[in-house]
Amino acid sequence: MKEKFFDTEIIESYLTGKMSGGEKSLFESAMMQDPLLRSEVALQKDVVSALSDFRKAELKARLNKIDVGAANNSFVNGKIAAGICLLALLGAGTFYVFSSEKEEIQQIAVVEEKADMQKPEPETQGIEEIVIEEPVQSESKKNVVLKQSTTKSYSVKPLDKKEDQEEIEVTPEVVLPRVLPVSNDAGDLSGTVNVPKGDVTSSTSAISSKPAVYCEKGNRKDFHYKYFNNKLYLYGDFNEDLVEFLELNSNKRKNVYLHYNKNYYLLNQNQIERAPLVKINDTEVIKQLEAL
Amino acid sequence: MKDREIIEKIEKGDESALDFLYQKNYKMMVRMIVRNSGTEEEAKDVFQEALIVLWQKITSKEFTLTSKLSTYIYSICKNLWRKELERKKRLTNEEAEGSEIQNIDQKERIEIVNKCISDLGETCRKILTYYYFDKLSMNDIAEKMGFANSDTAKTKKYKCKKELDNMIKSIYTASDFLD
Repeated sequence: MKEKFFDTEIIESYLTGKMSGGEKSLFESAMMQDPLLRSEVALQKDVVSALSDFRKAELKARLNKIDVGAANNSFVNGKIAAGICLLALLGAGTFYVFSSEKEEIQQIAVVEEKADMQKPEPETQGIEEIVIEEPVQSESKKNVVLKQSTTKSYSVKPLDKKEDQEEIEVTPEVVLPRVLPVSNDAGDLSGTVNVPKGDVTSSTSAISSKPAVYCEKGNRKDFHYKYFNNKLYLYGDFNEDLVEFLELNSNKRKNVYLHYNKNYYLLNQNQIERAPLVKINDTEVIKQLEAL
Repeated sequence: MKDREIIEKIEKGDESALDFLYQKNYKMMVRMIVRNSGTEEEAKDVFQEALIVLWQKITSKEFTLTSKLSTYIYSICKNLWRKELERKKRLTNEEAEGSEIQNIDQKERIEIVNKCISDLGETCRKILTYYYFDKLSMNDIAEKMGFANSDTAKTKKYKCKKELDNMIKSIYTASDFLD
């Protein structure tokens, strides 16, 4: 087959709208007369649109991978139930840790560092299963009734990995709010974590403690955080500034916010995987937080 | 990140700024669409689409900021969602007949083109998508790809396009013979 050679650059400038009016009409009349040119232009048009589609799909896939943080929670009910169970266990673990020696904290911190991305193993340690009075960001969890009407604010100094361990504030505020037992409903959903079924139902006490904060600098995952063993891990250059925590009660739930460098971030305490800090933009919320 | 910084990053084709916008605006946009009878899945899709529209506008430098970036994104989302609602309405009215009666020739051609694009080397594919979709300048492409200068980017782009064209034509003309 005789292949007529077309200057793709010219076709391209036609397709990308870079031709002047005169050039364009000239080109179009040439197309009218030449079916081969016409089909070549059609082909090039398809090439450009296929490349565009490819890139769009690539960008979409990229966005899809992003963890949208707290907003996710209302979508995945199962995860919430799982989170509650996990928090209960983590809370138990922390309670245990806090009530024992400081040295142990140090050890755990080191282990956590190594474990890093691994999923935390729920620590049972023979302590009864409990439901923690923690902000659970879900409207659907009517089972857990959170009743705490005070707002409190406290700050925790970021720790340096090596020697400052001793400075961990080991003064957990143990609050015992009224907690209603979680019904089977949540127990059923707990299948996603390694928690024996039905454990959640035997709630007898509740713990609320301020998280220990752990900063890791120079990580590529800047401004990320996760909760591990009821400790808050912050990734990024937090500059040793005071990281402040604020709690805010808003209809039926308690949200924990991180205040850093004039910005407020919502912390999702069910976050066990590293996730980016989500900045608060709601001026209403910011106003309330600033009032604290 | 301030709006200006975000735009500057996107102008250079820095996707991290897109990630940032996604996280920052996710809740607000999804809420708006869900309130207007959309599902969360649809909302997510529309929001992503909106961000890509914005991305393309900024990377091709067709963009001047006249309001807050989030306001702008909000309005794109709203428009896209309105269009989508209209489309859905039309679909139910016309029993989803669809204008998909594209000519078979073109369908086949697009399939061939898609296959060739995926067969193309990653570097070429990147250069070509940055050029044709993002409409990045040769300078920006050179910077993003780590080339010495814009001339290198230009030459590479030319070669890659030629390679793609040749790949397509080797299949396309062959299938022509079968007719």
